[in-house]
Amino acid sequence: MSKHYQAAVVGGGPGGYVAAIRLAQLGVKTVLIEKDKLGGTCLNRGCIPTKSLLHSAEVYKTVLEAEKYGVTAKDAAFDYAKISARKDSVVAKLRKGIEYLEKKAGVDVIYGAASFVDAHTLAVNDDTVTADNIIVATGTAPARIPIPGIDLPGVMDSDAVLAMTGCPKSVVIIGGGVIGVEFATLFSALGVKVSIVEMMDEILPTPDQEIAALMHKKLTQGGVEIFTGAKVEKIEPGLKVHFNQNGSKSVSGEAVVVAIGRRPVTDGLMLEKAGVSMNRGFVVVDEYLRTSAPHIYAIGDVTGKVQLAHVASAQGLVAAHNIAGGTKKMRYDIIPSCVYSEPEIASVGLTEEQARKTHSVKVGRFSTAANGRSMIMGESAGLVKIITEEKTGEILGCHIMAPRATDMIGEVAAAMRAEGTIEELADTIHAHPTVSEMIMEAAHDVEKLCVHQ
Amino acid sequence: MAKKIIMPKQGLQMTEGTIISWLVKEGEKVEKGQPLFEMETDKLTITMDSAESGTLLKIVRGEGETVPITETIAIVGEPGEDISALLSEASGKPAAEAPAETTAPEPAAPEAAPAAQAQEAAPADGRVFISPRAKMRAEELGIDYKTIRGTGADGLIVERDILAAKPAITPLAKKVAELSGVDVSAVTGTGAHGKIVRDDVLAAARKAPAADRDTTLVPLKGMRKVIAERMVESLHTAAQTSHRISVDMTEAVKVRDAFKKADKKLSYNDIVSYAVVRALKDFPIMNSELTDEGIVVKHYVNLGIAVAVENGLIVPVVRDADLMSLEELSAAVKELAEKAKNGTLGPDEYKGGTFTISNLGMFGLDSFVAIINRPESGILAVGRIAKTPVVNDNDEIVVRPMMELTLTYDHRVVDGAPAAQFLARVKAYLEQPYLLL
Repeated sequence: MSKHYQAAVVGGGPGGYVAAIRLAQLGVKTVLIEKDKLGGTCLNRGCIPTKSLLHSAEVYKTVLEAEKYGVTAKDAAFDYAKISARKDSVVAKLRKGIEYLEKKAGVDVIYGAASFVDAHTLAVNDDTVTADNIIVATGTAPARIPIPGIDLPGVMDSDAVLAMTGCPKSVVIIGGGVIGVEFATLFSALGVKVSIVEMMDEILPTPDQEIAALMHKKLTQGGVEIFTGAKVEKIEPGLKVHFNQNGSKSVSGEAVVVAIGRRPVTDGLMLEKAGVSMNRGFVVVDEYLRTSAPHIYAIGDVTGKVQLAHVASAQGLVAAHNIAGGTKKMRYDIIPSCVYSEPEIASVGLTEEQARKTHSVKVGRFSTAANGRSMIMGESAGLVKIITEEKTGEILGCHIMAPRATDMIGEVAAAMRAEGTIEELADTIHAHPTVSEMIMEAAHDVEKLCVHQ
Repeated sequence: MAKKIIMPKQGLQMTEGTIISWLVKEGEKVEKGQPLFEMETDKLTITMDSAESGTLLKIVRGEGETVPITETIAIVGEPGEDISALLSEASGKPAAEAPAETTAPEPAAPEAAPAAQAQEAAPADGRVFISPRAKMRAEELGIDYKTIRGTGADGLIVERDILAAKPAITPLAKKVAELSGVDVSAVTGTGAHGKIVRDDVLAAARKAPAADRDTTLVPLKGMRKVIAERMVESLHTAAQTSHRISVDMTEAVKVRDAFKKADKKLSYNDIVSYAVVRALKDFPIMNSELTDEGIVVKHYVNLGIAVAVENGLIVPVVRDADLMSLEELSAAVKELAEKAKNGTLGPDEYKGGTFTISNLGMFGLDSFVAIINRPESGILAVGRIAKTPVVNDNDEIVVRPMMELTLTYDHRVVDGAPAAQFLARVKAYLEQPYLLL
């Protein structure tokens, strides 16, 4: 028995579930179709579980270093099964929260895999749903590299790592991007021997290169072995990863984690029946997030724009607004991005290198080592750098490596979105003692008027 | 005994005050403690009570006037008292002048006012009532408060009115506006609650003519003036019309290549010039000048070559071009053109021409029409050489290097047929250069 809706959202991740709630809030009769669990990759196999594990690791590490803070804690140990169970309980709680929010907003949720029958009809669980507008929010899954040995037992993608209930003694991580560095941070905090094999010349290819180099140093000091400019050739049983780095080399581990990116998930969706154009597996959208079929929208990772949960949510709000009759454009210029390393890394806007190509810039910087709160928290590595346009003082980008960086980047993003200039940021009184003072100090440093360095 | 009413000092930092309104008219009685006038400072607006009892004999300083503290603003006494001494004392001004100060418009009826702190209704004479604080804020923000509607008592403009009038603009947009000279008061904001954002300013900057998109005045003098006068004189005097012909330059190209192989630099313009000189000898009527006595036909050729120079145009003249070989002509043209560009031409090097050639082919022009360089009777405009599909004698389409020649001639002197014959002769020489031998 087919049911008709004004809008159907396919995929209940941070893009889809947010879009569905907003559509309902705007008075649009909406159905959300999820083939697995609400919350998508972010909640079930990504952001949330990783950060839960990382937090447990951080607590363990802090206890190990307790003496440094004048606290005695004997026999510090961790039980990975419990760490994993805590992660599962956090995830479960948050998922319940989403289920409640959908219900409260009046969104119908159907569990099952959807596939297009025609441009307005979706088949789900031997039934059909018709809708005036459809949002495709099916996300991505971990990508695999076609190398020999990729299917050996113990070779895991991020999904498998997050499902582990025990901790290996040594890990080789293929890929030194954000996911790779976060896993390296997790395992090295738990005392696991970690090696990273990265194809590019530096780990973390997207953030500011100065910060990437600092993080490289910090990880190395923490005992992580990093091979850059290294192309993985094969994995042999016994989990020996062979790679080429100016000649053949190899590194072994109890487990191998493959973190080399993610591929779009559109299998079985039959988008072609709806006349939706694709590009290398991703759904092509315009700035209003419409696909080539004007009543069908796409949001999140599957659009191939920026693979971040908060971008998916923002896209979800824009698409919902447009379905409800609006004409909002999606902006991608001010998007914070974070690495939950130790210390954390957070960025927004252009890197110094990018900015110098198109603007005449002034850069302000401030070291973590000179910040009182960071010293109290036992961290000295890192810095804040702010890149500004020379004449207008426009904030072009900000890059932070410091404790709590991920919580601080919002301040700069808000200033950028409100088109505040470096002057407003510098004139904003920051509470003392906080790590966020570093942002103010770096802002002062743009004019070389930094008091504390 | 008449008493002065002075501008009172209200607060430590007050140096002057502005009289907003008089609540008592001249000639009316006033009691000590009765509200007498309203004034404002840069900090506050206040109703002042009279310090004296009696009749308001004279209002020395009118509404809207800003008066330093302690200066006399009015005189209270008994009707008929001589107040000239007090008047002359007031602000050190002669008594006779003081009344002029008081010719400020009659205040609106103040009868209802005494008890109230209410402001006067805004008078219809264009004066604006604004609180001092609002005024200060308006000046600070550069806002013209005269156009703002007040929301205070009786239409008084208060601070919130100024703040509401201020166009909301992001700091970045403000800076961009300053740098690009955009007047933000004319910009419509597209940000939250109509706030002007950077893109609004940039869009306005693209639309609004900036200062450097204004006009500049180039004085009409020197060479520009001469050109202007001669061009209009030429068009007003000669009966100018033109013929155009296409020339197949295949053979001329071969001539140039042959010279090139022999390490002799020759331009197409040289070849055209040489052909023109020869054709002029064949058709001397094209090489003539109309005078009051009649048509003076010249049996020598002084060939003018138009040369573009900075901010103008000059036509150096190759004397006795008809006596020169192709190479001699080429060398002479080259030398004169250089002199023209350097501004070192002697006076007789740009006078006495009998016919002129103008070549704009280097600018990619296919053809154009030139104005006769008077008193000559003809000018040849030379376009570029362009590979062009043409139909040959065997009805085949072939690609040929083609060039357009446009002859402007004075129909008073030359008729269409001889002009056409002359042009056809030039074409013949260029298409069959051996005829030039």
